[in-house]
Amino acid sequence: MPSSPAKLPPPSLNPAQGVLVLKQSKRAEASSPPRTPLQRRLRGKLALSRRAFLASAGAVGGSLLLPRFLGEGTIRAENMGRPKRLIIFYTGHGTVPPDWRMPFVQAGTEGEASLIDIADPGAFSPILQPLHAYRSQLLVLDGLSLTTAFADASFNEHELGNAHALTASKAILSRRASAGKLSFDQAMIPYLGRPEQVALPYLALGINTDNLALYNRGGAGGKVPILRNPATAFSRLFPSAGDLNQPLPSEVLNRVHGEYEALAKDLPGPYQAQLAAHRDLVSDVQKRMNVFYQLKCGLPAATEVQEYAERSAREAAVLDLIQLAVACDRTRIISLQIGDYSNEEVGAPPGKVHEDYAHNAHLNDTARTVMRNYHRRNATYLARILDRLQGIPEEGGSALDNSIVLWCGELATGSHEFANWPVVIAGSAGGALRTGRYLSWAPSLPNPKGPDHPQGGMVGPAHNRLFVSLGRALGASDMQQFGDAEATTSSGGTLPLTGALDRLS
Amino acid sequence: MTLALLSLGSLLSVAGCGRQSEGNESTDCKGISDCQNLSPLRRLTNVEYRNTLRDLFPQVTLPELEFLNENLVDGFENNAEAQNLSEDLVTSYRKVAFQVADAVTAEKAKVLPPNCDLATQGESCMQAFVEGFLPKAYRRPVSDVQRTSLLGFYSERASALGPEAAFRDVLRVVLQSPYFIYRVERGGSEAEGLSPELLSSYEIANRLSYFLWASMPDEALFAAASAGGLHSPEEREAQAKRMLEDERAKAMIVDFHRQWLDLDRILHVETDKNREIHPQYDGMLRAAMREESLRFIRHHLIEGSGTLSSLFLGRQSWVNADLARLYGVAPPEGAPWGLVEFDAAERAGFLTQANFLASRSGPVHPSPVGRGVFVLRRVLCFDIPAPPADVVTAVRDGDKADAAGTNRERFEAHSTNPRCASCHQYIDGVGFGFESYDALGRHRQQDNGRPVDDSSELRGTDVNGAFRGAIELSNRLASSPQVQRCNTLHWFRYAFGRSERPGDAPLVDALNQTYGDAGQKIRDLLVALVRNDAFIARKAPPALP
Repeated sequence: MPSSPAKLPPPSLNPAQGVLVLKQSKRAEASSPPRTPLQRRLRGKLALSRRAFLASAGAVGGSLLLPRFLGEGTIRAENMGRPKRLIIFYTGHGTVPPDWRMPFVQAGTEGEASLIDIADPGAFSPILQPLHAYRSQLLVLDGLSLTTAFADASFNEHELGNAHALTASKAILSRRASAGKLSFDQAMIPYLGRPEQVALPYLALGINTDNLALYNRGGAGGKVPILRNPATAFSRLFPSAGDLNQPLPSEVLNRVHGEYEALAKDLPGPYQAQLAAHRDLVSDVQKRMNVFYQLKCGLPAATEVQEYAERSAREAAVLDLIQLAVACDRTRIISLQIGDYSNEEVGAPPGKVHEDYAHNAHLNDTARTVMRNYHRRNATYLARILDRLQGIPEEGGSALDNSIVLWCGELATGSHEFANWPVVIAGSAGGALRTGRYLSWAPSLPNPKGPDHPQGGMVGPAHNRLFVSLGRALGASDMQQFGDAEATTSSGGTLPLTGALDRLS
Repeated sequence: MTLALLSLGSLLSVAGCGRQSEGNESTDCKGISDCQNLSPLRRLTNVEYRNTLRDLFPQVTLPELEFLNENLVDGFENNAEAQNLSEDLVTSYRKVAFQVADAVTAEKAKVLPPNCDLATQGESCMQAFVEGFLPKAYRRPVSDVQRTSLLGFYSERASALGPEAAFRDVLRVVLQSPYFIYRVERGGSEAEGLSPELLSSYEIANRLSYFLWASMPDEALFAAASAGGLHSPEEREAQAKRMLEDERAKAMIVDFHRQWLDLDRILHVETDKNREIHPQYDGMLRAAMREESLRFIRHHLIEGSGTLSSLFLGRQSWVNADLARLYGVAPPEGAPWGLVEFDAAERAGFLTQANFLASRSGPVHPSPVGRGVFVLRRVLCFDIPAPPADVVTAVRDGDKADAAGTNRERFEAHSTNPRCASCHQYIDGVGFGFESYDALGRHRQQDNGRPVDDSSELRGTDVNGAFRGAIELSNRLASSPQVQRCNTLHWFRYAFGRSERPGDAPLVDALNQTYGDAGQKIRDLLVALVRNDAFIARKAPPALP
């Protein structure tokens, strides 16, 4: 782990050579010193210049996907200005509060402490310690409540949490729980992902998860597909050489647009809206394609990217993907869903984290240790993501400064709780948030489930308000509410859920 | 179970119906009395789209196509009310259209009329091509205006890019057209003496083919539509019987069961197992478990008796070497897969197959709850509520060093705690009957050194009572009228592509009666579905009573 944010080496690669993909065996270590048998093989195969290869091999973390060549602006988007980005880092099982909270403010009170002057990493909590180097760019939020989840019907909390965490709205419950409304990343598309703005409205990645977003994003039950294979994600981001030479088929889409237009007029009312919506999307796709084929960075065609079996290889590839996606401005909304680690990966005997330990962290030391390792591992990986963003210089500092990186998940704790939902934010969206602080809130609002609920009769601010603040920070300056506007309590009253969260900016 | 979600279409129909149209306003119901409860506008599902392409371009080698995942309702992919529209979706259609257009253009000789050379006779060639191709692609007669317009587009593109590229662009347009992607239903035309409350002949043909074949109509069905007889139940029955002999219907029946019985679940992350304890549970074995189920369905329901009960009682199945090892039977000889007849005391029917048993298990131990819930929901059509919010529901699925006890004993709290027992007496009542099968579906008599107890009790059904083991349970279910009706209901949902509404109950009852009278022969149920008036109506009963 680096003790300070890494600077990426200057590019020494002629862009005309294209993206070089290191096809490596599972056991290859890209960060090992040069002249291993593998590197000798690769050097011969790909005809890299020695400098270029060493530059990539010696860099932080050990990329397995691409050599590190982004740095001083040679291969990156021109005239970037200060674009804002949203990056969501979504992990499971909440946290272990005594190992996440930091002693700078008293839990359960309204408090605030500066993180900037905490020079000693050991002063950070075990779970958040890997992020210490970024403390001046962090906001740690302690005391928010998944109020809409409390207000919803009883349901398996993983499912319910996944439906509520990024939507803050009542779920659609049948056999599974589905999102009632758009999740925050999807809701930001009109601001950060318009067809004429970026090649992809969003990029949804996953490591060791199923192929549909756990946190249901599409609204009205629609799940957004996520890309778990780095190769697929890469080809989604960057067109192949052949595509680049194709003339833009606007005539085709124009004509298709016309067919939807004509048929919509010809059908009864209920069908018209659907076809009109489809027609409008055809037009959006056309605009999107215009942007897609205008590659803003000097990054020409890719060759092959392989599929990686080992988790560590995929983790490294995802770091590269995020870095490229941001540096080349292919998208401004990225989400990364992190699936469970195996027990072995967090230092536990064989089994499954969920069944064996996640529910018991508050009951026994073994479980607590395992889950602490689990969440700390996530924090460690997040720090590597921040390294990549920090290493992209932009007006205002770095890509990290201009972004909001949101770390959260479906639960507050592994034992299925919704109160004190732990949130870590990195980046300030170009100064819109005042970072470098630890904030806590007191439970001062009624729990919709009632005064006798085991998690407390009173809870902290509803997480809807966090999204209002983040939305405004990312450019939705008129946002007054996100998700549901109010929640119904068990006694039949209503709680307002509107407005921004206090003290973030 | 109805999805608690109003489709955009139904919202609008409530908002603006019944008013007289001034022209092309969105409240215009175009000839029918009101637009309430119109059958939803449906897109082709991914399976239907692939099949349609296969049948539209029969001689062309099509590439592997990628589609978005679909929303499932009761396991089914074709619930039109759950179909979502998104930029992702439209993008995926564009990509698929481009890929297919490339492939077809590369083999255009197989698609163009004979002796047609695009390069030299472009216009006349395309004219002949469009004349034959467009009505098939759009699955209905095409007007002169549509044809001329498309040919005009071809000419423009040809002068810009040349005849071959223009041909490709024509294909790209057709494959993204609403007439291709959607199953457009406008109803019978009054000019032809048909009621707009009913579907037109071609629309009935489409419903028939997408129900029985999950694909486009063939020449014979188009001809029947053209002749105008499909409004008659006898004609539909005749067509259905013809179509049921086709391989496409057989594939559809297998695919229905893939969805109804959740046969893909074995491949998902949810059914991963502990690699130390179950090292043989790898990708190959899981794929084989799925393959066995699909072959089993075909064996009993297509090639065999074709009755519902064979699903529960069939003792023959197909295994490969891995599965043979798992089941403890002799491996197949001479071919990778071979037919096997299981010991009657050990295995019979779908519920004793590895696919079901392993996909309803935890990483180490079997899950009586998972198995029970599946049977109650999918086989008996019970609505199972979620556990109470403040209960920690996960049971430790630890390693061998767990407390001494059988798997069954780990679930004790379900019976001893009255809060749990209220539901779990039903769920575990079914689930404990499967304890003789471990997390991979292997038969066992010992569990953690103690004898397995697979005695249990069915409750809340029409075949209640004590039973011992999954074979007896399967027999019980095979004789249950409730199970039969549940199966009827699932076929109804699949045939109509929507969840049932209260007003559908008489129809479902009638279908169920016919099904029973026919000895639960699935084909007879399918014919009955097609004969029914509801099959050719444009409306469904109201969503709310």
